[in-house]
Amino acid sequence: MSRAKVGLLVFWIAIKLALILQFVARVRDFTYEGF
Amino acid sequence: MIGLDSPAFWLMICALTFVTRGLQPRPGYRALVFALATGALFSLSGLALASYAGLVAVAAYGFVALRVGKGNWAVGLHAVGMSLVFVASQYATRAPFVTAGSTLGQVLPLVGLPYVYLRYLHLLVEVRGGRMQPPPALEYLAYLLPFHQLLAGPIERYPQFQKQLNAAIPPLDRDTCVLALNRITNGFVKKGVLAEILRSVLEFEFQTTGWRLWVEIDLYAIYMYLDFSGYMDIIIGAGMLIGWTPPENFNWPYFSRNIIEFWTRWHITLGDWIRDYLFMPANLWLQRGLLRNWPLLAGTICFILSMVYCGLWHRTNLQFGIWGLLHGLGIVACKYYEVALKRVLGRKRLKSYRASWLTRIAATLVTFHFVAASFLFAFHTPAQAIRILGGLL
Repeated sequence: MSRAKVGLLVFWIAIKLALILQFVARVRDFTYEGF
Repeated sequence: MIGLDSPAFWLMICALTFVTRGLQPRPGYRALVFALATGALFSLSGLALASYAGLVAVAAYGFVALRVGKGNWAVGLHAVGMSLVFVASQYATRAPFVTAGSTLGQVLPLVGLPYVYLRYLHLLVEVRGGRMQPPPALEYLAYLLPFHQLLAGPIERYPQFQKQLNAAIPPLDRDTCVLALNRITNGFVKKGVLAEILRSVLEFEFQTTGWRLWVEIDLYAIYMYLDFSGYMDIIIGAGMLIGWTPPENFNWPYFSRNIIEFWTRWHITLGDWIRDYLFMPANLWLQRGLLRNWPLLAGTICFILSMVYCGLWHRTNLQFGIWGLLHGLGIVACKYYEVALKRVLGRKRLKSYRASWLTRIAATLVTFHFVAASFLFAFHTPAQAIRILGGLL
């Protein structure tokens, strides 16, 4: 993969990670089922 | 205690992925590391080690059964034996004497048994058919109980697994890491964010009527897709990191133009298994014997039986039996429609009918709504499902 494509993908992964962490942080019980 | 399918459970899968990768096992030892990883998952999560012991006992029975007896009767006997174990465990989980604190309550439910069961039947048929050698014990155990594919498959075939197991571990280079992390985060967004938002906002109690109910039923189908395909994304990404990538299980299933195509794009490995080990042999047997002169009738019976089996495999209860039956009837309706169209339109006009965009869009919409409505029958009693659908009018 070209460096530009890798850079874009890393940026996209970072956005998704931020979204996931933001969402998981709102979950009161971290061990609940039905994630 | 960590709940199954909780964020912490999935973090543990990711941690085990990195540990397994970090151990860099040589081909000879990889099966051992994978088998130990499954044991570690059971002991660290809410799944009791006793449950792991139960699954290993089932696998051990299967291991012996692969080598005992000769001829077709042995295949049949062992297939029935394993099916009985599967059905018994499904019922025993719901039995009143199985309480959470009891020994049986620890051993049951045998998490992942439905997938162990189908993987095993595949092995049984191939080994007994002489197309494969019986696998060595550790490889067999790693194949039947993969830590990253434990919860919901897919149903990987043994040769694909063996090929990856015996190959040199692919280097953990920049491209692999980025592609794997992209896949894993896709899965977490689908399963942990989008599906969770749909579930918490709509709650899927189907108390509304009219267009709101319509939207809720459609979104329920989308929720099911996001949850299951998100799971697949996570385990495929994890698999890329450890050099054991599971096969793809989804290919935009809601864009299928009929229910037959749907089963080649939704839970692909299950659809393939049903076709290869149930539909094809049963259809062949009927077409060469009893129903030699009625191939369409033979197909009809086999489609319906295969899909009812598929439904009962998901959960051994009436609701899932009806869900399977509906899909079977859907497939049969497609086949008969195809035959009728061929007769009415002829080959040339049928080709242009199929190529038309309008037909494609209409067929896709009908298929999607059929699938969405069928989910209601899987998770409600028939009377409840009909009452919910009545709310659409």
